[in-house]
Amino acid sequence: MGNATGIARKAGALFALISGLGIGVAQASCPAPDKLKATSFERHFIQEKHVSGLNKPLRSEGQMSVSEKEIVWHMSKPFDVKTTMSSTGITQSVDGGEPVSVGPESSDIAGGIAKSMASMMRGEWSTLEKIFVVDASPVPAEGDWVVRLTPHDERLGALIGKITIHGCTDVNQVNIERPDGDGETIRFDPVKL
Amino acid sequence: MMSPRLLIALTLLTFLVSAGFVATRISHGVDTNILSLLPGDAKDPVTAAAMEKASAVASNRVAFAIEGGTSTTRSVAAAKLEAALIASGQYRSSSEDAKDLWKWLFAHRAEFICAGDRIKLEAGEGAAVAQQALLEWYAPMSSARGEMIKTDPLLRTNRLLGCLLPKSLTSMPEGEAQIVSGSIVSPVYSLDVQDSIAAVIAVWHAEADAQGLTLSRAGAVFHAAYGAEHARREISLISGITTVAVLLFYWMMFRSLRAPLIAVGMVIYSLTVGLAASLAVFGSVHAMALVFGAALIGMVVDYTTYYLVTGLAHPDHSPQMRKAQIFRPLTLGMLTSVAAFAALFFFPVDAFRQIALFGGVGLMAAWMGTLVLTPVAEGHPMRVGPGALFTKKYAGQFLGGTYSGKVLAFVILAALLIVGAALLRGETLDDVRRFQAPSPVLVKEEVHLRALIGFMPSNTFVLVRGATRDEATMREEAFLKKLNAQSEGDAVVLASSRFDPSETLRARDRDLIRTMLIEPHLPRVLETLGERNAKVYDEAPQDKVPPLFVSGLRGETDNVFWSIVPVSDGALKMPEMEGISLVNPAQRYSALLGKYRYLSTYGLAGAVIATGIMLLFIYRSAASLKILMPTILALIVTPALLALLGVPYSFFSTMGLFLVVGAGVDYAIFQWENPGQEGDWTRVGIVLAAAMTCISVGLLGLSSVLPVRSFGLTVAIGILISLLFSPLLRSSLAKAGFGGKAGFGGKYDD
Repeated sequence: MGNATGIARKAGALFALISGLGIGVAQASCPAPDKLKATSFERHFIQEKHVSGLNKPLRSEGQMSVSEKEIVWHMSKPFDVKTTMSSTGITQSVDGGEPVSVGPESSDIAGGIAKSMASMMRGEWSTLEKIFVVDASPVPAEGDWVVRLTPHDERLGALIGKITIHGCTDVNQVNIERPDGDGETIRFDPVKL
Repeated sequence: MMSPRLLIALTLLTFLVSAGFVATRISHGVDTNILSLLPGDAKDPVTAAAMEKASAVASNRVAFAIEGGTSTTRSVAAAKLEAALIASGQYRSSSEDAKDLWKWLFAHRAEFICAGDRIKLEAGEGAAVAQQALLEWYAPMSSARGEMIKTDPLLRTNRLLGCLLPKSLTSMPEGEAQIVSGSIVSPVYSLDVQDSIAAVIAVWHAEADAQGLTLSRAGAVFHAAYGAEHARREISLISGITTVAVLLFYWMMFRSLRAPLIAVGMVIYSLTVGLAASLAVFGSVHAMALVFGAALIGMVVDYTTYYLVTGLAHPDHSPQMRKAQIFRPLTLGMLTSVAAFAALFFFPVDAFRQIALFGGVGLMAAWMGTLVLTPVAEGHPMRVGPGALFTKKYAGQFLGGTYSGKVLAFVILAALLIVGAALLRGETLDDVRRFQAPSPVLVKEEVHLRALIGFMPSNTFVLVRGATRDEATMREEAFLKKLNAQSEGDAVVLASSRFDPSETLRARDRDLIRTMLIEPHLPRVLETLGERNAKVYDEAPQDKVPPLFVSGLRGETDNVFWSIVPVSDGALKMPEMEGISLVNPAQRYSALLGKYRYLSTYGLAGAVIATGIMLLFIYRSAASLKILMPTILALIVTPALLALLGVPYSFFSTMGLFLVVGAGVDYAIFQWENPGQEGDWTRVGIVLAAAMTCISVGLLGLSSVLPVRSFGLTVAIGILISLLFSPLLRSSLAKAGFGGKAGFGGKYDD
């Protein structure tokens, strides 16, 4: 009996596990990309830039934080550079030094790109529609959803290429493909609210 | 002596050749730039050339904003609009300028530098500049490209592009708008260019309107097209009403369709020959010259009228006898009118010179046509119409009167009173900004575009001069440096020295970049990126010719090298520097117009004196100078009367008065030549001629362009006053034995 009971228990546990997995699969189905969880957050990122002519990708990592007031792109490796974009302008702090205002050498396009990145992370697709054709494929029954962004402006398209965003409750990964073959991938860790 | 048949053949041949020439040139030979109506600066050809260049730079830019619909429809519509504009052959996209600029900056990446980087390198902070390049390589969505690893690892070109272009050109438009921008590569004041652009936009609207898209436009080409459309309408209106008036008046005078047909034929003949002459000499003709040409109709038909009227007076006379009757006054009248038109040649305004040639040759053609073709076309004399009888009875009674000295004194006193009142209440006008009211629709669209993209062409500029190109560039650099020091650097829209610096600065920066950036810091950047080509910046730049939009800001006039620096309108505190001056074309044109208003007013006195000398030469009698009296009174009273009616006295009023001298003297000459009863039918001709001129030229008073309106009203009222005062030349002729019965306030020869 003991064995039978033990077997029954194991079977029950297995059933419960299978059932639980089943329930788990059903619950893991992602919400629509316009229902992202967080609008203010901090995410760890790892970026890999694939540049033609280079044997290995340019790899960097750091923290991206987005709040109502500002967007911070803090690369910690291979350099410690914190770039902060707010309504008052763009500043940069190297190796923990004093933030220095970024001059006109970094044109407003950089600011525009940063804002676009923040909009992507917040799932503000209607804002992005001003610059990109936003193509959100139907949310799959399993796995991440995908949103593709193609710039309206051909010149901007030549500059930044096509963007593909993968996510579920939050954006997990951003892929950028340039017409010249260059590309980059940015992977984000889960949200820290 | 040439045979009559040969003369007729030659006259007709002249017409056929002229018509053929006009037909082949007119479609692309019409200038619609209102600035062509303004005087050039003869004393300062450098400023004149710079203003012309600045106008071209500002006028060829165009921008469109597409709004409404969805982002996709906007995007597709923008691409279609740009493709259609490029296909028209009249448009160059801004992206082409951007490509040229990229190539230029790339070629000079080792010798051009941003102002901020120069400060850093001079302070020994080259490591920070190199670090910025590395960061750009690692930054997400940055503009760093794989190909640059081997050609520009320090990303010098990207950096130069970021700092040299005005912020307004690199920022993205606010709101949901798709922007299309570029430049018109053909003259924007040419009608066929305007028509071509308008056709593209019309086709675009046909599709886009249905998708709920709207289009806002900015650019001088649209204002020019608006002005041209107005001019076209005005020409049609003036020509149409004048033609109807000619038909009606002539029918009433001669009761024959032959008379108006001959008159219309003469108008076509004269205007065609005049226009051909203007096109042949100037290569183009201003739209306003065409409007004045329409006004010339009234003056041209005068000559035919004078001949036809001799048939009413003497139906039994042969054509030769009738021609002999009018030959001297007609010739003298033509010569004085041509002399008055010729006076326009002395003003440095091409449009006025075109009018002078157009009018002068047109009148000579009318004179020739009247004497050679009209007798043939007429066949036999026409009958007296009811209008002719009416005019002979009433107008003739007034114009044929001989007036006492009291009447003359009264007229002079009244004239002085009007002049006095005008001096108190009237105003002068030289401000070019008040010449033509712009289209409110276009102004609204431009304001909207300004709000969206922030950048609009500026007409105000700083003119920099130098004995050599390099000296001019160095002065421009020094000026920009000083302007930055006084925190007014943002006022500069574009400066050629930023993109193509002086040799001195170039050599200094080249050295600075090499010693403070490339040599000490490039190895580390290359090592980080995994690249080894340390000689990447060693190649000397091959590209020697700067992009079009840079070279377009420079010029050379009379061995003076100059450049223009467009600055945003408004007060700019100009530093005192050699070879540097601020030029506000609107203010400058206004000042010049004020000066020319004075000069041309003195010129009128000269024209009267010249006409007087001509009269003395022909008549060899001091008494003939009385012919000038009605004209002089008209010259004084007309602007005064108009000033009281709210039409300010301007340079263009004086231009009109020149024609009053020419045409107004005609009536006095015919009055002088045909006194007493003999002149009854001549006076019918004078009335008909004056009426035609007043109608055709007076209609210019309806024009939306102030110069045209002012000109038209001045000529019409001046002619009317010349006609009404023409009997005054006989106020003392009675003493010479012409006698007569009492007329309207005087005596009438019966």
